[in-house]
Amino acid sequence: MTNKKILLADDEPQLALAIKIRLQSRGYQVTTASDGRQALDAMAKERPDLVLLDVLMPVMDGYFCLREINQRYGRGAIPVIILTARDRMKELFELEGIADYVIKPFDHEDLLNRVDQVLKQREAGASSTEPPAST
Amino acid sequence: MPTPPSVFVAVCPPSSPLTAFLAQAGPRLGGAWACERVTTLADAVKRAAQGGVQAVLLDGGAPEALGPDPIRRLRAQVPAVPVVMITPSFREDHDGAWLQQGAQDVISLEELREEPARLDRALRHALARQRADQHTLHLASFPEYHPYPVIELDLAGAVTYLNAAARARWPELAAGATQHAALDGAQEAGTALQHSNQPVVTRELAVGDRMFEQHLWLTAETHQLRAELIDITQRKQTEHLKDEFLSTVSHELRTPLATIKEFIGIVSDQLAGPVSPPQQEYLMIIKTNIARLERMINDLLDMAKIEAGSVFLAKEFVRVAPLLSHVLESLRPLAHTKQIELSSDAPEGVQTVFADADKITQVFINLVGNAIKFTPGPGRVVISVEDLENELTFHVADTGIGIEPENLPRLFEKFQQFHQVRGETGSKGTGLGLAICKRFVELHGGKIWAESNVGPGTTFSFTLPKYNVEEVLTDYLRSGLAQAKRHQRAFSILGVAIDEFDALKKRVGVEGTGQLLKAVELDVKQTVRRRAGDVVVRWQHGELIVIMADVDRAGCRIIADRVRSAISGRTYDIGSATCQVGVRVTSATYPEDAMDPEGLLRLVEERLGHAAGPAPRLLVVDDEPKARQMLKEMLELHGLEVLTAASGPEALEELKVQAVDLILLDVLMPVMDGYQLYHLLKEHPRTTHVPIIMVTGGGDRPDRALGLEAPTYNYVTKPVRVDELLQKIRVALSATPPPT
Repeated sequence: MTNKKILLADDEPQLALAIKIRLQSRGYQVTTASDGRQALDAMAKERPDLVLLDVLMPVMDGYFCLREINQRYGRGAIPVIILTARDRMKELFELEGIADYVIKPFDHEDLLNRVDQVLKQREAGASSTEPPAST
Repeated sequence: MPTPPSVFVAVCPPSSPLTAFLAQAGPRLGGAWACERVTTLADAVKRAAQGGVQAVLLDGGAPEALGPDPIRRLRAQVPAVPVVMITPSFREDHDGAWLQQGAQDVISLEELREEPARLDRALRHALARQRADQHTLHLASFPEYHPYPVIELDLAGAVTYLNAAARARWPELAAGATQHAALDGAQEAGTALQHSNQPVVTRELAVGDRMFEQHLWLTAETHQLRAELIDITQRKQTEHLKDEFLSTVSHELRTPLATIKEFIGIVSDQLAGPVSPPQQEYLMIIKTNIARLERMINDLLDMAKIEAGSVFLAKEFVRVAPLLSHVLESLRPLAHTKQIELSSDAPEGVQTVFADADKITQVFINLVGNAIKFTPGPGRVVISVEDLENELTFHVADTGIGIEPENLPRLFEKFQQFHQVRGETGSKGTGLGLAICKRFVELHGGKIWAESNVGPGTTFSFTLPKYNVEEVLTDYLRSGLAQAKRHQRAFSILGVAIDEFDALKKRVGVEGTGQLLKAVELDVKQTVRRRAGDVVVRWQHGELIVIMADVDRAGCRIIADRVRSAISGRTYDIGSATCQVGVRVTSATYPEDAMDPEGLLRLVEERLGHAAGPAPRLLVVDDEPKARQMLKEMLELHGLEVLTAASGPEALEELKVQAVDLILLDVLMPVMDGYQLYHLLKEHPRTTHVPIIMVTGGGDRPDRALGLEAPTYNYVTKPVRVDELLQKIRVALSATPPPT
């Protein structure tokens, strides 16, 4: 259906693999990273259309990674969906600008729908709504 | 068979008159006694040590009897054998000395000659006294040598006795200390004991860093209050470990289980290649069991959280109808397979409860799920709702086999296997479901119960409050004030706050606090003598608001005084203990003090609050001991209370037991850095509102490395400048919303 590129950063390699398989089944191209630093490196090589970001990761956690993404590419330029087992940090992340917040454990169908949704909105609104801030 | 005669040993020289008397008297003693004669004390001791000797008769004419302390020497070696002293002649002045040495009786030879049966009486008397002495000795050794501390107090609360263990553990008490954690509340408990039929009061008490179980009772003999303290620190630690273990294990089980679930899903969705129909069937079986395991782990986690006191309700107004239809929808497939008709006859109209929707859904899923499970098809499960003034009552009724009435109370206990109670076999759960339901309902301030007769089915019911007290208060205030304005009358609100509420809560526990608040509220109501239009609402942090229609300022003062003296003069009985409370009472009156409800309320809150005002408490988290100490000393100089922690985990531990007003967080720490800790603190409901100031060192900081401005963090940089830090602390503290 699409060949959009998704970057998935999660320090649980097996769960990340499961999510990757699901995303691939929808036709997405998936790159994985196991911490925030790796995610930033991967993004520098190839800019993804969406980032799925775990929060508690070693080296650089999801919060700093998100801020750095927004800093480098402009706030909201690359949509980020936060994946976390914590349900009380949503506001903190929303302050930084996120596309969605998904609480683990999630239903894979639900996650796929949210990913579709975010990318669809992005496509529809890319020209009309807020232009990405310049860095 | 005749009983063998009891043996007594007589210590007397061969030529003594006593020897002659005994030789003659032998048969006349009725055969009950056999006499064995020895000549020295040493021989008597030797003989007694062989056993079977009931008493020793000591001849006052024997050479050794004239030596120093003969009886004491004898008794020291064979303490269990009584000694009767026979004096050559009747000399009363001497008797006392012999008795003091430990003789059980003293008789003169003259007396014996006059009445030979006197010997038998003396021996029997000596034996009886020996037994009584032994008994006294036993009594005296308890509580003195009891391994646990035992303290006795008179009814005024003064310490009158400490046993050896108490003296060793708390030398300050032995030295005369009157204020001591080990004595906290003992006198009150004593008063309660006097006025109740309860024989013993048992409670838990912290003394220093140890936990004790204290048993208090009134001793019948001395009418003193006796306290026995058993050190249960170890047990408490073990319980804590158990809870933690349970929680950790459940968490750790979740990740692999989630992985299994994901990949089973991927295989069965044929994302890894085609799956044959039988394979698909087996995968379904695996999935069903994964779901079961998940439920069990979730139950264990829920219970662990409840036991650790870390369950918090996210309460809001919840509409009942959508919640019920969600429950019905999710359980309909299960009901369908068992041919059970699932319905709800909730009345029309918008009903809301003030509740945590997730928790209440869980309660419903559990109750309805159980009902379906234990109802043989075809059958019915019906949810009904009763709309009462302040609460809603929900019923889940089934047409199942019912439960024996005697088993009903056990249903909500932990680890009760439901099917065992219901006398069925089937898939076992953790036996925690109903216990969790009970706790969740109770956290909402509701009740849960079951009614059944074997045969016609079972009904589980629970209640939930309909309103938010805050909401009710504002409503009442608004309408009351409108009335007062319309009729040009006065209108007052009275605020009652309990002194040192936090300390009190810690002392009497959550349940005790609940009972206490109820009792105080009742007293307030009775003292205020409510009229129509008067209401008592909202207990929050030990504060009670009373709304009084048609009461002016002067009237309010009189009522306030009455309330104050009524409560301060009373001892409250709360379950296992009693306590006295001090209160602050204040009021605000329309139209003198304020014209609108918010103004009145704010005034009362302010007046209640200003009476207390303890120093703000800070937690300093820094791994460097020097930096930690420096900050602590500096901040304490400025009137702040300072706690410290050397690491993230230590800080989390500290925060479990101590609430703080602000946290100072070093960024660079091993194990868990400041940012990680920041996230953890911000996501925990207990600390999420606590302002945090980050203390950053120089060098390569994550924020600087990333070139971030960090607008959401409040920062100071090392070396810390005192005025800057104090300024930031002041701002952060004044911006903190009051805890709700």
